[in-house]
Amino acid sequence: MRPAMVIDMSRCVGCLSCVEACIIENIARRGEDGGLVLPANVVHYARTRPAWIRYGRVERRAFTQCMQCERPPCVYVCPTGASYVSEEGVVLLDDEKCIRCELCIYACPYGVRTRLTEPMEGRPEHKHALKAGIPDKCTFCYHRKSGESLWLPACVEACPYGARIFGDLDDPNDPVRQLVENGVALMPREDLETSPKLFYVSQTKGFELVKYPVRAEDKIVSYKLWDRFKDLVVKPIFQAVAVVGVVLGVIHMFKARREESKKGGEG
Amino acid sequence: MGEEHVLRWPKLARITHWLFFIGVTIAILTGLPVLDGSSFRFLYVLTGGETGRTILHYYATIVLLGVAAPLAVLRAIQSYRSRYEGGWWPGWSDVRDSIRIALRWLGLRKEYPTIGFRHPLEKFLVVSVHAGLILLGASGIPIVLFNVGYEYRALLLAVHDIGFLLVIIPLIGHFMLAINPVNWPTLKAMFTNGKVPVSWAKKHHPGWKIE
Repeated sequence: MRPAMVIDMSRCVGCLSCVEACIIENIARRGEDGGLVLPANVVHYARTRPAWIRYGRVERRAFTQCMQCERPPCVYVCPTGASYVSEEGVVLLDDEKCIRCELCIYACPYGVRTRLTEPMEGRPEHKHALKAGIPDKCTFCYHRKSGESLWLPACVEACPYGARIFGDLDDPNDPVRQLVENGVALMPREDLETSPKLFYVSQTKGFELVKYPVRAEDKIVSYKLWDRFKDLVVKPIFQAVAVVGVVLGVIHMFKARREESKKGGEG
Repeated sequence: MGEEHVLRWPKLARITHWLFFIGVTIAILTGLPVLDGSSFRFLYVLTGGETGRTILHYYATIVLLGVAAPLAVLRAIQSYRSRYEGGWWPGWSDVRDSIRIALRWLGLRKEYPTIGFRHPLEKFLVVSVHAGLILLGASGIPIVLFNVGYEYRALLLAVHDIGFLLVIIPLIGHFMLAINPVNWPTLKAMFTNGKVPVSWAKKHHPGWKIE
């Protein structure tokens, strides 16, 4: 199973039902009095949220969320393995391993990760719900998964216009797979080489997915080079030096001591 | 009558050294979890989590090393003006002596070169650590204090890593030499009044012209 989502921009009317559903499902908590607790600027923390996209002279509202990349830069840069890919290919975050270094936020070329830095009353409603301090992103409502079958994310369930379709790229008969195979659903920013599993359909003339994502062009940074440099050069050198340094230091300690006692004996 | 002593570490050297020691130790303990979280995540917990790292790695190190930096410059001037210290910058004779020391260590040479006030390897160590600290500051301060844009962060982090290597490689050697019992008199001097026994100085630094 390889879950993927298609957002059909030609069907989307921008009613924000998906955003509301996401907030209720993943962001909101129950306070001690049973009332709904939300962070300030809650739309900013919704895992799918509206963003104005400029392309040429035209502005169009689209919805941004985690692209569920097959080659996710956020996972590559994570020093603790807190950001990881589930067996189905969903990019998730283990808050117990997270050290809040924010590298995943910087590394995401789509600029979709957020982080609530203020404390929030109440308890998260499920394992993958928003947690204060931890970088947050769409999980395709992974907590809804039960058994081996495909689940339904809250935003897909809530969309009254059927603009969101959730499916399995491994299933040849799945509508999502067919939309992608037929070239109807397009991958945003293919040039970033992250292979997103969130696709867009648009019949708006001139709507260019190359203009996606939300992060400004000059703020898209490839962390690939630094990540490789760290993994292939810095970490091995550090580990080797630490081991060799300690071993040589201990040998030197014995040698120096032996020479001192030899000199002492001669004296 | 006690044993005769000679000043090895003036007060300025001791203050600068301990400021660097505390600052660099904090920086390493709080930085390692970001470099290699799978091995050093426990340090993140030990150093107070996110708040601890923000205060310690971002601000405490900047303050401590920021105070130590001008003192290090003064200390370098002091060292160059001293009649017997002879400065920090390694020359060709230090390269040659380092090779001789290595050959002697490996048993390929009988004679040990005459060591002056400073061990030749110590000079390389100091230069490398200072170069590394400059790179660490030059790459870390723009991120912390000036919130430099995302587009430069990957580059700054790479420079930060190079700085880290330049600091950590000699420091591991420095640490192993410092805890070696034969060097304890000089370690003790760093903790106390900076003076070492003359007998120790003559044995380990025969080229040091003790007045």
